[in-house]
Amino acid sequence: MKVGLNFIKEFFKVNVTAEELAEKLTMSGLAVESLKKEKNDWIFDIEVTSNRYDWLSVMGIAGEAAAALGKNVAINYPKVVSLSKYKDKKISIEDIKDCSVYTGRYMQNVRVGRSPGWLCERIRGCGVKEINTVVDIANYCMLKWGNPLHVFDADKIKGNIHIRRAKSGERFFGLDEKERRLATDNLVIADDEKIIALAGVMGAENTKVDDKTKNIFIEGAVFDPVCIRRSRRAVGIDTDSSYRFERKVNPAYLQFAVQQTVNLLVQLCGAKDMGACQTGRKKSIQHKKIILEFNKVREYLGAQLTDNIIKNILAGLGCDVKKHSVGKINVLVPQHRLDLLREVDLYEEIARFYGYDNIPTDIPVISNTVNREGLYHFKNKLRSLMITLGFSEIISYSFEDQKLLEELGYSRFVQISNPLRSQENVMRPTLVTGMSKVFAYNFNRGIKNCKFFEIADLYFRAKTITEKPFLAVGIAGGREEFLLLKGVFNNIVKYFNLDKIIFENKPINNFTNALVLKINGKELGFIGKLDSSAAKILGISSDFFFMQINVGLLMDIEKTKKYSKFTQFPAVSRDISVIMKNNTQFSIVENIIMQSGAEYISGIEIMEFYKGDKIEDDALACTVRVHYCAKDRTLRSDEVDHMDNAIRDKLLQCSDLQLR
Amino acid sequence: MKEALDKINNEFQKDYESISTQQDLEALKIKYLGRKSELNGLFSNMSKLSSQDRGLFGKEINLLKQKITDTINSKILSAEKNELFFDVTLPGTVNTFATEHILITVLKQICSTFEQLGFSVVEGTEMEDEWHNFSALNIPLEHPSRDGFDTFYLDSGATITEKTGQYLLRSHTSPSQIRMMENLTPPIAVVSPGRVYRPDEVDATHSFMFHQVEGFVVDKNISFANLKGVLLKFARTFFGPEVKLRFRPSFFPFTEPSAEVDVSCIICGGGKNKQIKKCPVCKDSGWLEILGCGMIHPNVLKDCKIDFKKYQGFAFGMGVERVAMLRYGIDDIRLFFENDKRFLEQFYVE
Ligand SMILES: [Zn+2]
Repeated sequence: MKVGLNFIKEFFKVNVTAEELAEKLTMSGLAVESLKKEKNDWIFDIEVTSNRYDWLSVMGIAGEAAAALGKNVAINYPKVVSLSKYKDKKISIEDIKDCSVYTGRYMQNVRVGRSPGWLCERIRGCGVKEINTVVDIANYCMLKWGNPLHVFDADKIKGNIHIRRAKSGERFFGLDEKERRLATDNLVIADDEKIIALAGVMGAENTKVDDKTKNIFIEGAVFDPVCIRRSRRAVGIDTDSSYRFERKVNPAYLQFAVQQTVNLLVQLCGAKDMGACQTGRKKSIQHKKIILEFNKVREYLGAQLTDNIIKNILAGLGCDVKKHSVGKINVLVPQHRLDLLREVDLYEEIARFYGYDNIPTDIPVISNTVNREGLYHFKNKLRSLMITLGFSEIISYSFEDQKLLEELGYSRFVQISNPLRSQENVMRPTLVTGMSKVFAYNFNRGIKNCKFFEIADLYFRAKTITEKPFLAVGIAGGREEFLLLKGVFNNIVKYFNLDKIIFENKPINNFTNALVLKINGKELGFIGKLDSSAAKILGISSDFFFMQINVGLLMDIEKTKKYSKFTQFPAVSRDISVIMKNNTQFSIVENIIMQSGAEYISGIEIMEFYKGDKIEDDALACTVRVHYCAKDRTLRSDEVDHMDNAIRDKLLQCSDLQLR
Repeated sequence: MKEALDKINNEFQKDYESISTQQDLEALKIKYLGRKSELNGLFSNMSKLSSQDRGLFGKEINLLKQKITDTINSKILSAEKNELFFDVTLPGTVNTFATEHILITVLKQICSTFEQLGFSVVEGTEMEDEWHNFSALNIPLEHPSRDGFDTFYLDSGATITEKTGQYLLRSHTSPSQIRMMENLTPPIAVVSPGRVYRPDEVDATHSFMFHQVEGFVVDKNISFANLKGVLLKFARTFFGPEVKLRFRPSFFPFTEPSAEVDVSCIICGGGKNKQIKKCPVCKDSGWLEILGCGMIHPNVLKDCKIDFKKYQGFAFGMGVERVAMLRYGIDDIRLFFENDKRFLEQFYVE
């Protein structure tokens, strides 16, 4: 809320500078967002928290400012005059829950003109535009007391006043010159023929006060906060009036707001007060009585406040404080602080006025029954492994475009009911789209050599909705990058000490040359090259390799590491050159070597691939180095030769293989 | 014997003058000083001499051996000096290192600071329900206090119960904490990091997805002073031992009293650094808002079936993006999610 210093000065003498006052207000919970000098006034822009509707009035802010400066406010309550009853209009309220009280005031012979300077300054300081004397006066009183009022041109109202819900499809043409279709969520003010206001939100154009207006009807009412909130949200309007009703208004001040409006209209517009009418009843204010225990205050705040300090703060707030029993007091809260309901509300007020900064700092001994969560730390371990392996971490959005995903063949998504944009309308079931967008982004800026990973949740929809963490790894480049990813996966296997992994050559949607990674029959993830149609959809121009791994599953199968003895005896090696014909896969060669019964094989290593003149097109020559080692001795050369020969014999038995 | 020594010496001189390469030098070393060298052979022949001659002659052999060794060593040293010309002014190789995302780094640092104080990290899930995101946090349905927590709702197809309400994307990480309070008995001390979502239009300071770390403690005798103590300890560990905190009264539905916490500006030192005239970060106020916090509202404890007469607690929360932006002077939140390699590589794990 905006307010000018001169308006605040109507309530008490401010003896500090505007800057000092701003600081005081900020430190007592009225955060001053900005302070600007405007002509001979200072404009405070204050952020009012949603619990303090009393701060949506200048009186409330002035009261707080005065309390913060240790001063008292002087409020001139206007003398409420109860004139003869105005009988020409009957007011009917359809549901008293929507509107607990509705008062009308009829005035004649009003001169509508331009407001005097002081009035313009007051409302302009609060960010309200001046319109004409009548409207400006009503706005001034709303700003001052916190109760929104509305003024109709009485001659444009036909018959009686009805406060009712709108019928579905009824139209409303507001003062903002926009037409809206209403529904039963909207509360309206109507006469016998038409809707004349969207209750608590905005008046209708059809009963607007203008230069020709002679007679007026002033509305003062208390509407239900939830009702007004629903109504204004349904039509998408937010006004100074609805903002206040939504946060509750104090019924006690309604009569003062109306009376001061009447008084000013008499004074400034020469209008004649013709009487009041009212339906419903002002809810009688229940002054809340709270029992407060001094020791509890000290314990809760951790501050050694004396009984007297506590009592003085409460008295300064306008509370009536009486002794209850030993160490306890009865606190009766004032009528302008209906938000104070229980002890803790008073603890807050005491802390606020004592000053948060005056409460000591004290580090407690923290005891905890909560176990360390495995997943968070596991993900961090995985993260540091990926970084060690030379991949940088990215964070991409969890949202995705349903259309794009459907083009890629995905179905069944967790949908967002109220997306900001259609490009972000579902929760992603794969990390490949986010990863490839990051590659496309960097390529388009000429940035090459990207190696990225991301650890994030994926979202699935079956009978219920679930989310699970996954690791995605991406790299662009030649076909050897596929092997790099496979190597990365082997590093993961080694790092987390996993059991034997099975690589299954199996087609995967959107990927060519895909390998599914399996352990104990469960699919842990996959590695693949993005196929050309998917690459086109995702806007990637070069070959792109991708791996995605289920992190939760990985964590479940992680095994603790133990030291295992390594041999002290040197390894002996033999090279075998083999030609693989008819596109024979290397795994055939590998399996023959490993299963050839050579019990001392400690590993194999590919020394080179060769493709040349003497080799047929669908064949590939390869030199494999086989390492032999024993745990307890150095192998003799004739032993190794024997094993080497056995392998060669086995390889020759395969018709697709040939030795060189 | 004497002749034999002279012969070796002469031959060595001749050979020495004719060497041109490093290999020649090595060969020379082996020829004259190796195990099978002539000089070594003389030693074995000494057994034939009288003990007197043996002493005298042994001395002679050793002298020659030392002379040859010195000559060869000096040659090796000068050879190294005259090694190929190498231009050390050439620029160093450009090595790239992989980096952790800066948001994750900051998030981890915040969490580990609290872990050191005795908190446990619990992440929870991003897809939540209305009960855990709102109602249990004393944020009633259709109340203006909900406006600050605008939310993406999910069309889950799952059945909705009256208590849980609709599914949604958490707008803060508090739901994870509610779940801890529902399921455990105090003492509890937890921090919850993770992604959160709010339907904010994207600009330099807003993003519909961002990261938070929130935490809370529930135990007997937990006070507002404890809250201040823990947060001050955090701020000094995280931002530096010099920083000050300022607690301003505020309002959150789930805490009372509530406070917003400012840290003294880490750029201008809260006006202490006289070199900085106009501080662009704190706008010369000397303070930066970094946290929201408060004593947990009794309604929240009650909804989690915790006896609020017996237990009290405090809670706090902060945005990871904001902390990272302040600390590294990053001026646009979108940079975090564009993943430009030139941005990512500016930060490395400290
Ligand atoms: Zn600064």
